[in-house]
Amino acid sequence: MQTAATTKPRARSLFDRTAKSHRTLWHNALRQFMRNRFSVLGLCLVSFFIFLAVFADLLAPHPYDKVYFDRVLLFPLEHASHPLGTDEVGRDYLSRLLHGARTSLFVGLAVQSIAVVIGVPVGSIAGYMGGKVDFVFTRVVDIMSAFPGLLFTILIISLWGGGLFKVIVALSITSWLGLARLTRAQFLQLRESGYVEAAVCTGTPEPRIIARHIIPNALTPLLVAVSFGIPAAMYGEAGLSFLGIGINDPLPSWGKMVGVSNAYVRVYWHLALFPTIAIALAMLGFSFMGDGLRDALDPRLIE
Amino acid sequence: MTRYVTGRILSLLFVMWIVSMVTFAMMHAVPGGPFDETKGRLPPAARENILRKYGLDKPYHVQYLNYMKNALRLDFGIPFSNPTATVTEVILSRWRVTAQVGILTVLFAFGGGILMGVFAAYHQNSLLDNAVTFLAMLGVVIPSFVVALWLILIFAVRLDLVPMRGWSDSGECLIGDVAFCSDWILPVFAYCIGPMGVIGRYTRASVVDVMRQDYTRTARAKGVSERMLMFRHVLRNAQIPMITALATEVPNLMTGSIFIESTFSINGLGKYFVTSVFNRDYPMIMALFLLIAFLWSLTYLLSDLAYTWVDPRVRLGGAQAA
Repeated sequence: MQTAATTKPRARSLFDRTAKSHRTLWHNALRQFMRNRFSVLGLCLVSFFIFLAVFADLLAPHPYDKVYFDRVLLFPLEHASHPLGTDEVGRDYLSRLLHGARTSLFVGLAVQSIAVVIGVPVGSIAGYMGGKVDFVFTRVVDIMSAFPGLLFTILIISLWGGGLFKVIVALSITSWLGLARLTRAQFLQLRESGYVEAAVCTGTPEPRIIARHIIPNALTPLLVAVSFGIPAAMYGEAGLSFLGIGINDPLPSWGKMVGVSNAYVRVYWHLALFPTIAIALAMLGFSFMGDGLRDALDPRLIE
Repeated sequence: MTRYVTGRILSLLFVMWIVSMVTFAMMHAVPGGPFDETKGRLPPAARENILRKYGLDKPYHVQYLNYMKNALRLDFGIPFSNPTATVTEVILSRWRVTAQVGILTVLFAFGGGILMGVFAAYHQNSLLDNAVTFLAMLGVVIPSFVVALWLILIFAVRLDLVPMRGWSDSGECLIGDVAFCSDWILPVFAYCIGPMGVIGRYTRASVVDVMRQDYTRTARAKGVSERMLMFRHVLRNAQIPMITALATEVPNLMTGSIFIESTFSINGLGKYFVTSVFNRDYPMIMALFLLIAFLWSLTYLLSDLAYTWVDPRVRLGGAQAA
């Protein structure tokens, strides 16, 4: 863009001001986030969970798939080297829980990454182009949301068989819809905004309008959606594994651990207790964090 | 308005058509057929006979056209796993069970959720509000199968308050029966705390939003009693998000949860679906997918219409204010 020399200082000061207020959005958000006890608690839980998942190899006392035939179904503390006991085939429960965190986090992150990679471009194209493209997009999304989500996933899994990667793909097929719809709504709304109109008037090329004016403003709702999408995918994985059609055997999954424990739980309560606590804490952590993010990034609430 | 509704119904039919095609294609793409392993090893001639009887020997497009021709006359075929009844009969009898759980769950979830939400919003930021918010969150995030497992362990195994047996599926126990009560209390409780949390959170957010509005302050300033304020000014305006919650929860609750039904061994639709997929029971899979897709689309349509009824500012079809 060419700007006349005389207007340059003014333009720069305008730019400075926007830059400053941009910084304060995140600044405010951080302060708001830290003021909320629930969201800080959520952040701590999530950090702890990520730490466990990343260092599962180092933290686990035994390999997660090592079977001790002479130590089947031990209670916690019954044997010195198995602080949380062993499962129905004699694998160390603590190690399986730690690796379960890894499975769960991996599924959550992978499903959401795929959802972002598909949903955001598709949604933005539909929202920005409008017209026929948008019409086709809306119909496709309508049809796909009419499918019963979980049942659809079960049908897909029975088509392909279970396993980590197939579970991820199956969950991704339904999870990008929400993000695409949200992105489209953001684009529709922002396309009409004053600053985009101003940018069009000054002859800003379209890719630049999208990159500089629309995407940064659409970012915060998407961020919030992703922060809720991760636990939703983890939830989905736990459900499928609970039904016995999710993660395949040597690999541990909290959902599967709860599902398998059903048969033993009347006596061996620890088999259900620990994965339950793990699922609950991880889900709570992500949800509190997401809630905190949403409140912190909503400029209407900051005062 | 009539034009809008007609358009929506047409698009609903279009969606159902696509759903039927996709389901049909996916179902047949699943490896293995319904008569591969069941009933022991069938002699090839018998197997051929069965396949011919159900029309499975014809090419896929002929099978699909036949199915759709019958489906348009509301004849959804005969389930392979239960050839003495029609699909419609099987679904209706399963649905009776699921609907009993569903209706009770909807009642408890909405009653409890709205109460919790209004209560929390009214005492905003108090200790009680935090406690209710925390409980609602707990209900939302903890999977229902986990809740169900612990309810059984605590109330049926440890305390021995309710029997362990599953839900009677013959339909002889109906709501109001005393024996029925001990049967339904755990499944309904396990099932409703999730939706209750969702509704509680929705309600709280929307009531808080309305209580911040100028007209609420005006009403309070002119001396409207608190009860009147709540019912006449706040709740009426907080209805829209509640309808959204209703629209997303009711079809789910009315078609049953796979997790709840398999944990409590309730012979409802949700449990039946999984068995149908595993048994490759094609007519059942088709009918269940179409039924659930239809319910979802219908609820969306009804909830959009409900918006205009609750909030006269909402206009459908035409240009909507962004």
